[in-house]
Parts: sequence; C-alpha cells; structure tokens
Amino acid sequence: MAASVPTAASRRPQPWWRTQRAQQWLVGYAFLVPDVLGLAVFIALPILGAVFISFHEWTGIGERHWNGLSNYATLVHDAAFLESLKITAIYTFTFVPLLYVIALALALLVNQGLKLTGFLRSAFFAPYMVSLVVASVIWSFMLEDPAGVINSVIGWLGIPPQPWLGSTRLALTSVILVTLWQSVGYSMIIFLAGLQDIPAVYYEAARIDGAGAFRRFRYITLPLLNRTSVFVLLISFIGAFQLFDPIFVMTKGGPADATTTAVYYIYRQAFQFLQLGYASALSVALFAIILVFSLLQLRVFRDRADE
Amino acid sequence: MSSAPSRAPRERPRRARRARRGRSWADRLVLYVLAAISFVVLAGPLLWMLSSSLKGPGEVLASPPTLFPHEVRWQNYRDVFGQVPFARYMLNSLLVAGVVTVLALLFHSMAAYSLARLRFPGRDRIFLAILMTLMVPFTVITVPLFIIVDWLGWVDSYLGLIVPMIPHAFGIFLLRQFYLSIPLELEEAAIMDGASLVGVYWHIVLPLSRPVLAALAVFFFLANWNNFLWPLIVTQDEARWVVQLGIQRFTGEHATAYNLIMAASTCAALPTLILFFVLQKRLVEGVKLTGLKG
Amino acid sequence: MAKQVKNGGLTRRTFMVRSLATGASVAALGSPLRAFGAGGKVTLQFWKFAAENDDPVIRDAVKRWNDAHPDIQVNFQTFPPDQYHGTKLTTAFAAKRGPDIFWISPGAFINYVNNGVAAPVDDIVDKSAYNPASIAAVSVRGKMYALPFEMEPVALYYRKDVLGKAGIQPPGTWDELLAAAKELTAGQQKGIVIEPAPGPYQNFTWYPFLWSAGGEVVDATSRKSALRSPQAASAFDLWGKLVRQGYAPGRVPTLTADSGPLGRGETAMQVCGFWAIAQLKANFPSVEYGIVRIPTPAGGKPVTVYGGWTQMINALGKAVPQAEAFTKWLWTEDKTFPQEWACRHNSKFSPNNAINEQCADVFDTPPYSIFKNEILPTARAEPRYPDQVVKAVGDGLQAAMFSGKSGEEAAALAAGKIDAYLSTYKGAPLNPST
Repeated sequence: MAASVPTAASRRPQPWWRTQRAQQWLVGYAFLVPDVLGLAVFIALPILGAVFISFHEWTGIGERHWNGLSNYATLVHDAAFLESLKITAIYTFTFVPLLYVIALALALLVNQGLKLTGFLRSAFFAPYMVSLVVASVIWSFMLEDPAGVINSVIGWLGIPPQPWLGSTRLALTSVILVTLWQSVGYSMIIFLAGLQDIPAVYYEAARIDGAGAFRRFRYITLPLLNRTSVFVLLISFIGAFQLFDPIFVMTKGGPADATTTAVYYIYRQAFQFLQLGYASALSVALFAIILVFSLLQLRVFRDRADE
Repeated sequence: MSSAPSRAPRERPRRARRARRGRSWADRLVLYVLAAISFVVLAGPLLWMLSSSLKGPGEVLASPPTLFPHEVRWQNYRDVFGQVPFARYMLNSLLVAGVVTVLALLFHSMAAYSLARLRFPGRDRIFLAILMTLMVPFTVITVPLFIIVDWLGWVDSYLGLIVPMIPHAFGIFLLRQFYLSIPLELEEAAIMDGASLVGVYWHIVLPLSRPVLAALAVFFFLANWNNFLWPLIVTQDEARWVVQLGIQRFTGEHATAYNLIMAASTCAALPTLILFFVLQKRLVEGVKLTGLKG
Repeated sequence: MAKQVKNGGLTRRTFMVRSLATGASVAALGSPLRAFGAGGKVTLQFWKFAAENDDPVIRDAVKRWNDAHPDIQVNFQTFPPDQYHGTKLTTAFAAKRGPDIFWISPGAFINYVNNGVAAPVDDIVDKSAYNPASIAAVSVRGKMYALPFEMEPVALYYRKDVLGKAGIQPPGTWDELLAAAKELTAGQQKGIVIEPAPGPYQNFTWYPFLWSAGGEVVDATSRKSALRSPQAASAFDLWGKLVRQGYAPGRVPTLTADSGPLGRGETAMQVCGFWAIAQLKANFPSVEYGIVRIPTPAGGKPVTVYGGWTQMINALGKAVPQAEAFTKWLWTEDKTFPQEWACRHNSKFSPNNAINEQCADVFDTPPYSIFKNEILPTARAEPRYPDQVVKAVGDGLQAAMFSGKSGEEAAALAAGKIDAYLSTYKGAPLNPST
C-alpha cells in the first residue's frame, strides 16, 4: 500500500475509518459492490452453475444425473466440436482483420472533411442500429439466388449469380459479409475518435518534410492509433468467437454444417439434443480457449503499448 | 513510443499551406466516389428494409426484388400496431433499456473510479476477474441464470428483465481507461481541501465523465434495445415483451409475413437511429476522451 | 408497471403462498369438478408457438372458457416458433417452470415422455372415434401421452399453366419427376422446390420418398438404423440429384412450407402440405395449380406423410386435473373450436372422424377432396424421432445435396450416426406400436 500524502486532516488523531488508507479501502470496496455483486450473481454464479452442470447428464426437462468427467472425456474425442472450432477460427481470423481494415478505412474517409460528414457518419453507423437478428433477415433476402439484390448487382458486373447461402463454399463468406456490415460502424466510431485525437501539427510537419500520404499514415497514424487498435482487435475478437445470431437466422449451421460455429454447436447440443450437461462441458472448454487467446493477445500488445 | 517527427517545421510555411489546401480535384472525386459506394453498401440494405416495409406480402418476396413498392402499403404499419400490442413492446423496451443504461452508467463509473483511483488489496485481480466475464457466450449461462432469477422470484417481471443486464465488464473497462488518463491534480486539490473520496467522485470525476458516459449510454441503450434472447427466456406473459420479441411475432407456422417483419424492424430501428443522430458528436467526443489513442 | 418493480419481493411471496394453497387444494381433491368448490382460483399456462393467422381462433376459444370458468383461468401465450421448442420450453422446464398445457411436435414428443413430463391423456378421448395411426403415434406401451388434433398430409403441387405450356404430365414416378424437373428448369424458374435447409421439416417432406422406395430410418426394433439399404440410398440420391443438377434451389429464403415459390412462379412444382390450399387461396387466388401424390420409384407403393402438433399436459404441473378438463373441453366438448380449427379457419384434417364429417362440406370439394380421397389414405404419421436422429438423416441429405456424396455414402453417413446414438438410447421405442 502506498503511503498517503500527509494532510492537515490526517495529523489529528481520528477514528480508524477516517484515515486515508481506510477511506480508500472502504470507498474502494463499497463502490465496487453494486457491479461486482451483479457480476457475481448474474454471470459468475451462472458460470459456476454451468461448470456444475458439466459434471452431470441432464436433458433440462428431466432429472440431473451425476457422471463425473464423462462429458469431458467425450468432448476430447468430439470431431464435430473440433470442426466447429475450426470454422470459428476461420471465421474469426478472417473477420477481425477485415473489420479492422474496413473500419479504419471508413474512419479515414469520414475524417477527410468531406461535405455531409455528420450524415455520412450516421449512415455508416446505421447498420449497428438494427439487431443482428434483423440484419440477418434482411441479408438472407438480399443474398437470394438467383435473383436477390446482390446477385443482380454482380450481374451488372458480368459475374454469374452465386449461391451465397446455398453452397458450403460460400456460406461462411456470406455470414462474414453480414456481420461485417452490421458491426463496422461501431469500430469506425472508435477509430474516428482516435484519429481526431492526433494533433494536426504532426501531419503538417511530415508534409513539410515531404512525406507522402502513405508514409504519413504508416509512421504517424498507425502508431498513434495503437491503443485504439488493441481495443478494437480485442473486442472484435471476443465477439467473433461467440458468433451465433446470423447462423441461427440464416443457415442453421448449414449447408452440411459448413457454418456451424462453436457457440452454435453448443446451442444445438443444449437446446436441440437436450444434452445440457455435455453442452456445459463444451462451454467450459470454449471459455478456456477464449481466455487463453485473449491473454495471449494482451501480452503481445502489452509489449507494444503501455497498459 | 510514437515515431512522430521531432524536427521543428522548417521555414516554408507558404508552400506547405498551398500543398495542404490544394487537394486535387481528382483526389476529391475519388474520395466522394468511395464515400458514395460505402453509403450504398452500408445504408442500402436499410433503405431496402424501409421499402420492403411498405410492400404487400407477395411483393416482398418477389424475385427479382423490386426497389420501390408497386403500391405503397401504409397498412403494414397499421397492422404491426394493430395485430400485436407493438406500442406496448416499444414502451417495455424503452423502460428496460433506459433503466439499465442509467443504472449501469452509475454503477460502472463507481466501479471504474474505485479501480482506477483507489488502492486496496486485490484491486487488480478483481479487475482481471471482471474482464474475464466478457468472454462467456450468453448461451452458456442461459439455463443457470434463469434458474437463479427464478429463485429470486423475478421471472416474468421487469426486475428480471432489467437487473441481470446491468452488470457489464465493457463499461467498467472503458471508464477505467478514461479515469486513468485524467490528470490527478483536480482530485488531489479537492482532497487537500478536505473533500471525501465520495465527494471527489460525485462533484469532480462524474461531471468530467459526461462525454464518456454519453458514449457508453448509446452503446448500452442499443445493446439492450436490440436484446432478444434474455427477454425471450425470462418473460412468460406478452405484456412484458420487448420490441425484438415483437418483431418475431409475425413469423408464422407455415408462412411468415416478411413485409410486417420489415415494418416492425423499421419501427424498432427508428428510435435508436434518432438517438444516435442527435448524440453522435457527443459520442465521438466521448470515445476520444477514453484515452484509447496510442 | 412501476408497482411491479417496487414490489418484486412481495409478488414472490404472494405467488409462493398462492401456489402452495392451490397445490394443497388440488392435491386434496381428485376431479376438476370438485376443485371448483375448493375456492382457490387456478391459472393454467397454455403455451404454443406464435402463428398470427391461427392464434386469434384459439384466443377466442380460450376467452369462451375463461368466461364460463371463473375458477380455472387459462393464460394463453405464444412464442417465436424458432425458439419455442429449443430455448423457451427447455429453459422453462429446467427451472421447473414449465407450462401446464403446451403444444409439442412429434420430434420433441419422445423426449418429454422419456423424462416423465407427459401426463397420460387416455381418459380424455374416445379412442374408437379416432384414427388409429394418430393414436399410435402418441402412445407408448398402450398409454396416450398427448392429444392429437390435426393431420396435414404432404403432396406434390404443380402449376397447371407451366406444365400445360410445356406439354408435360404431372409426374407419377421418380424418372418422370427428374425428367419433368429438368425440362421445367429454365431461366429464373426451377423445376421443383424441395426443402434444402436442414431440420425437421426437411426430413418430414423427404420421408414419403424414402418410404415409397421401401426404405426405413430405423428398423422394427427401433434399436438400429435401417438406412444401409439400396432403397434408402436411392431416396438420398434422388434429392441429391435434384439440387446438384440445379433443378431444385439449394436455398430458399423462407421455409418451403410456404407455397409462395409456387404461387409466384419461381418453380413449376413444389412439395408442400395440406395447409397450402388455404395459403394459395388467400395469396394467389388466380393461380391454377394441381395436386398429385408424391411420385414413387418404379414399382413403388404410393405413400406420404402427415404431420401435426399434439397437445401435451405437464405431469409435473400443479393443476393437472384442471389442465385435462380444459384440454378435453377444447378438443372434444366445445361446439365450435374443433371444427373451426379443422376446416372453417384452416385446412387441417382431424384425427377425430366426427369432426371430419362435420367438415364434409369443405373437405368434399376440390382441391380439398383430392387430399381427402387420394392423399390422406396413403399417409403415415410423422415419426417421433428425437433431434439426434433428425440431424443424422439431415446430415445424409446435406451430404447428398451439397457435398457431392452418392446416395449410398449419404445413407451410410446417416446410418452410422443413428447407430451411434441408438446404442446409448434408453427410452420409449422410436417406432410407435401399432
């Protein structure tokens, strides 16, 4: 505990709860109570509940039966779960970089001081207004084959209509498209704030020194956006690993399980197959994976940023 | 850590000014074209949603799709509010999202102040534990959470809709970042003058956080306004349904009235869109102040 | 609204006291009639999936009951269909808060019976007046565990104008079907629409093809899969071909229970159910369509499937006798509702022959009569396979349609999964005892 700054107040003899240190402790803990209590009761406790259930066999509608580590033994050999992790990984490591690039590009675009900046900003953020469920409904119509909007548009470019949601090859791409569309505005706002925080003098100085647009971007913009970048990458990574809504609305994991992500696989085990115990064990495994990856990410970026 | 040039600007201001202002018309054209394309891609589907909300049931599924409805059917909106108590759903959503946002902002700022400014044992470990709660997909905790809420007696009540949605690590994280980046002088001066820590929080830190709170308000309101799964689980009587559940009401056993779903979705998206339009400057300002830059 | 927020704790106490009192009085008495005199008001939760076309009819009936029975009130709630079975019912039951009365699909039926949630309903109906197959479908070891109330067979609908213009007769065999589908696929129009999305409905509409080829999903003992047969392989292969060759779409934005594609001319033929008559009448009144049996392979027997929800009573509920009383009233005692459900408002056959007779004025006119005379007699009840089996069959179909697997490989894939599941299955037999 750091020594507190001696003040006039602390030199007088006073009850123990008035000392600086006690005050810090009291207020520190007291201020944490509402949120920590809430998180404990409504997130931590259910997580423990899920762990508890993972040691049972339970259909939800019937009784629970203890079966120890049996679910975990099954999990390790579950090729379908592994496949769903693979699909989740493919999705995540495609979605996150694309999101980063597009959101940053949009932020740069909006930051150029074109006319109607406010209007553009709202338009770019608007997809985030509709829930992911509604976005998926809209896009499942637009991706219709042969005559949906998207196929009509690429038709003008001479490309034949594609079975966006009707082929194992393209289904995951379509899901990426939809989630990118819906969430790019959110990251754009964050980048925008970061961009506007960079003092203009840096750019002026660089211009005077003859640096072109690309060098300015690489040596001024990117480094100064470091913390923003870490934040966007971390949040979008955590979200991508938990992808569910578009799968549920548009593809139900198909065609031929091509879009069955880890969370959708867990959902299916829990609520379609009524294997709540097994689903809980899968969730514990998924949580562990996300945790490890997130810590890794933080560690990698901590070396480049200060926390 | 940043590689900003440390050399002072050299003495060629006139040429620099001309170079900065004179972005060539070609560059400007490219930018406007990019902006237009982005607009079409991002706002286009929403405009399609709006146009579909005015189509008849046959036309909404027509293939090839029509851009504008052949005959504008305002009746769809009347149906949305007439067939189901959609206005009630919107009020419920407003109540739930509003209360959650206000309470969440209060509690998160308290927790963030505590984690950023005060010192007590276990502080950093608590923060890490809080962060970890972000990594749990909701599907995982659905059943245990429902059992807990049932044990509390809050099933099918506004308490059940509101309270479990208040704690959220994201807000704590963001606000803590912000508080870490505020200079300490203001608070230290206040403490010197004998202010209590609570007083410092209430009279200094909280007012300073207004822009960040505005930013978080938009995020929280949106997240709760668009929330679907938890309201589905915890409500039993449709009197407590929220807007996202209401939209799903138009899904049928054998056929779905997609034009009504589009109309309902438009009604659901409008309030939040207006909210954003009004608050967007504050939103960007607020995010700026969270100290997320490099 | 505000009152509920402030008095959350009070509400819980009141609820617990009330339910204890109700439970005590119900437990002390037997038949619903005596419960009326006990003086405690009972509220039954009656749940089903949302269907805005049909629900008003049910609401009217519930209102009539509520007006006549102040002591037994029924609270009718509907939930989004996609989440009704999976998320909503499961979480409610997991917290021991399941509804008193609810509709259940054939696929979910067996899980609920296996877990002791279904109350026997033999006393509610006069079995002799009912279609035996419908009774068998909801019976386990001679006892009925849900009340059947509708039969919706599946047939092949076709556009008379499109087939007429091409000079093609409605197909009767698989070869004719393939040829017709091929010839009628042109431009934006597909030859036929079958369900491409995995799930219970895809299986449901595929079973007629499997069965008419002589294949079965599980064998007579319900302990092993019967799909490793050339008959089953041919059925997988047919659907695989239709999608792979492009005669059927690989993706339809709506469930193909919606006859829209046929009505809008996006397809020349569509596999659809009895309900489509009402749909087409309402949405596409000028379209001329025909109905024929599902085509069979050469030498195969015509057979189709009929589906339908059933009403189940929660055996763990606090007011089982009252729930039984309401169910009995709704489907057998009320003068208007069963008929409305069958033919005045919808088009659904009733397993209760008396209701079908009351509906003769509707069911004896074309196109209903085609279903009544030609389709329904060949219909088998939708199997009550749990979701694991449904997914296994679906995986086979998806493999044939999208992964280029042959019918044999698809059948083997499905059979393997079913066998793996059945090897640890301990529950009611999947095949209903006749």
